[in-house]
Amino acid sequence: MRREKRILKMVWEDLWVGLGLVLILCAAQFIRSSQWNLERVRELAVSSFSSGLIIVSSATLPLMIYSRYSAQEPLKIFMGYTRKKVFWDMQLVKLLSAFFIALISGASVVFGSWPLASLEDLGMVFWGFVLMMLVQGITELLTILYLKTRKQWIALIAIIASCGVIGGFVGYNTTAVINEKDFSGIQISFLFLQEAPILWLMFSVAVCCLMGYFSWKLLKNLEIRI
Amino acid sequence: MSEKILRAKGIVKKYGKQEVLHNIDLTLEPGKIYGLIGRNGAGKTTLLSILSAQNPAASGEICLGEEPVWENPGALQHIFFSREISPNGAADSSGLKVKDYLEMAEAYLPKWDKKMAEKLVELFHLDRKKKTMKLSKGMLSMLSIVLALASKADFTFLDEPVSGLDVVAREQFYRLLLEEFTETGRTFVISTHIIEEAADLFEEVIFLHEGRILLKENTQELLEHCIYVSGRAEEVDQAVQGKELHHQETLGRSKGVMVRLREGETLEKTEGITLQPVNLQKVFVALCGGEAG
Repeated sequence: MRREKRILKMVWEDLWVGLGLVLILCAAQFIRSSQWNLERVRELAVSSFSSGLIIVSSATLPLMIYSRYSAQEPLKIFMGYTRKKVFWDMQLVKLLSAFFIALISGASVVFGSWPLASLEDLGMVFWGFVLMMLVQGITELLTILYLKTRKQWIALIAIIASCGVIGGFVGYNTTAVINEKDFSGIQISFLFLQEAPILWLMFSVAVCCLMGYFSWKLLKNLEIRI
Repeated sequence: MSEKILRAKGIVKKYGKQEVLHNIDLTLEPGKIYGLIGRNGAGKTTLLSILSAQNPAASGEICLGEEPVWENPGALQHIFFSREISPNGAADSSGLKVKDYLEMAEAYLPKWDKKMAEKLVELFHLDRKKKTMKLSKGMLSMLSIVLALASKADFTFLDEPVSGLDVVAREQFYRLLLEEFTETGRTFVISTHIIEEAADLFEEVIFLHEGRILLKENTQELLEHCIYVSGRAEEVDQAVQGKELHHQETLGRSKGVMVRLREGETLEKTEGITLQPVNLQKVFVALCGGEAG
């Protein structure tokens, strides 16, 4: 399999994990409601699907990073793939996965608010993308640190945080579905970022780069175990 | 087939403050089967993992021909170290299935021979759907052998390939290895504890002892140069005077000692002493097992 195809396969895996979960919850919400029409689908696309996808993906993407770095990436090195390629493939997967999730989320916002969709509506999606990059970066660093030191508690931080978010989200929304309510109550608020967006963006980029740098520093001489 | 030589120069490996490999120099030539023999903890797996760039060295360099091996895909496509796969849950890859390993090998090993891998999987009755954590030690060894042989890498290293295998599977492995070697002329380095069984395969043996290479020699020549001398203590002492002696054993007035003859040196059979050839295992024990009582 070519390198590009392998990267796309990983991105596809990232997408369907989060997407699948949110689609199931939205479908349940749609079926439970009495309005089975396009208007209801559009309402759900804005109120539940777009933010739900970003919240869930912010938790599932780190889990995917952990699972890859701890199980598959050592095997690739074992089979002669260089650490440099492992690292850059992973950066690309992180970027593309977050990008496509943001794209799907953005598309659902536009679909739901059409023709009144504005750039401001997409602000949440953009900051969602930044959030996904940050949590992936943190997990990558923690996972490599765990592989380096073999201290389980380091990996547990990322796993527990991610599982907590997924569990909380699913629990909240299941309750919402049972009570026939939308789960708009946990829409992400990025309003505080809008006061100094450039500053926040630069800060986020710097943090991502720094985490990438330290991840590489640890990965480049990593002992592998299979 | 690459005709390049794999060279290790000044390899040092440390775990924390403990140095486990001490300034190792090693040359592996193409078209040979090497036996890497050492006691537990001698550093065999560590050495092989460094030679294949799976793990880093603290210092030193590994080159294939003139090219450094570390992080070099061009060189790494010629080298594969099929290390022992961990059977327990401690390794994170233990949740993977046999088929995952085979699929990854197909994707990442540039010379992967899928047909051969399928044939070997059938031969060893490996269940593709089984997770590696549920495989027995023998089955894990078989998986490791499949990966090694089907990798078609010019330099293939196997770490304890027969551990856990029953006698039939071991014979199958030795036959397959010889067939592959005869057909392709690939270089194999096999680390093993079952020395006598595999001794006939090794063109050269490398004895690794406490992180140092104690010996690297043609197996046949080594065995020709090693003789066990026994008899009455005074007569044995007289016969072996000035020779390189190992593993002396005294029992009452009798004495036994292994003599390693230097190039051109001979040992005369005199009255009262017995000269016996020694096998590779005995040579290893004599050289690496410490002095006998």
